[in-house]
Amino acid sequence: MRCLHLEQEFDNLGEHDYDHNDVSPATPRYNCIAWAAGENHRRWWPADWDTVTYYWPPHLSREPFGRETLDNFLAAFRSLGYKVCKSPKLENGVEKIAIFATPQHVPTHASRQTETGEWLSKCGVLHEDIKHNTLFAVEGPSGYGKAIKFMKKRRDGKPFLSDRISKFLRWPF
Amino acid sequence: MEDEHIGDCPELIPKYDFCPDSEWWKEGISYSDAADRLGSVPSSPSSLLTREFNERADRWAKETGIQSSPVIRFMHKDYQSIMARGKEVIPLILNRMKQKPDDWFWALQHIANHDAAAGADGFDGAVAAWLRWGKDNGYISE
Repeated sequence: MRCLHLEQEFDNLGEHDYDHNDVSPATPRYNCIAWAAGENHRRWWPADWDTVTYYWPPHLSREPFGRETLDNFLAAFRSLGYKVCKSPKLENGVEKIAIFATPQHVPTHASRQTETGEWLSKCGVLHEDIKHNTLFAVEGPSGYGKAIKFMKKRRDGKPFLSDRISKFLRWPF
Repeated sequence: MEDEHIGDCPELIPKYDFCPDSEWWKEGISYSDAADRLGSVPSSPSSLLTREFNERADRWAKETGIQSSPVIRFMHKDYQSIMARGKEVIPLILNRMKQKPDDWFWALQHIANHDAAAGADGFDGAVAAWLRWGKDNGYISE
């Protein structure tokens, strides 16, 4: 399905920048953060003013309206096994996410990378989730600002070799 | 035709509706207090207000629908203008939420000064709780 309304909203999203055959129904019941975290039954946001319609990992702090921090979003994905990495470049056996923010580093969006290098985005509260070819497609002032942080985890759930080595080196001899 | 009076032509007679708040100034209270008192009896929004609300709500949905950030959505000028109309827009919000569920909880909570969704289960639970509250308080019918 071609989403003309999304093409109109995102300056960088053209007809050939997303897969017309991989578009979900539009729904307000989950948002981009939830979808990046692999969920499509509830909305994720660290809203301290609404604990009913927004889920946030219970061990993390919720934040006041307009005071959401990038660190809190990183912590949420860290709790799912992701760790910060430098690049969104596709790596074999690795799942990456990208966190978008305004120039003031206020989080706006998150996308999850597929095994073949495309990106999955639930477009806001109201619209569909789509599979787009690049992060650039949803960047820009009309979109989600810029993808500024990247995180990764192994698709098989095991820790990275570098993490195993550093854990071993920290072992108290 | 010579004996015809204005009274014979009902369409020419000014149509005065009973104005329940016209005496407020005699009571030595502020208009907002009088309006609050009247607010306890929900009345139907005018067609002008309905048209303005629909225009603003459509534009808000179109211009912020791609956003997940509540701050970006709620600080939009149309959402703020709708909130500023106060209790008279509650029936409009609730009826719209029944047809197109969306993030009206924040507006309703601030306009009504009440959180009907407290303790509800997720998004659908919050929608149901607000619609039930609207019916119980006479803002919307079945």
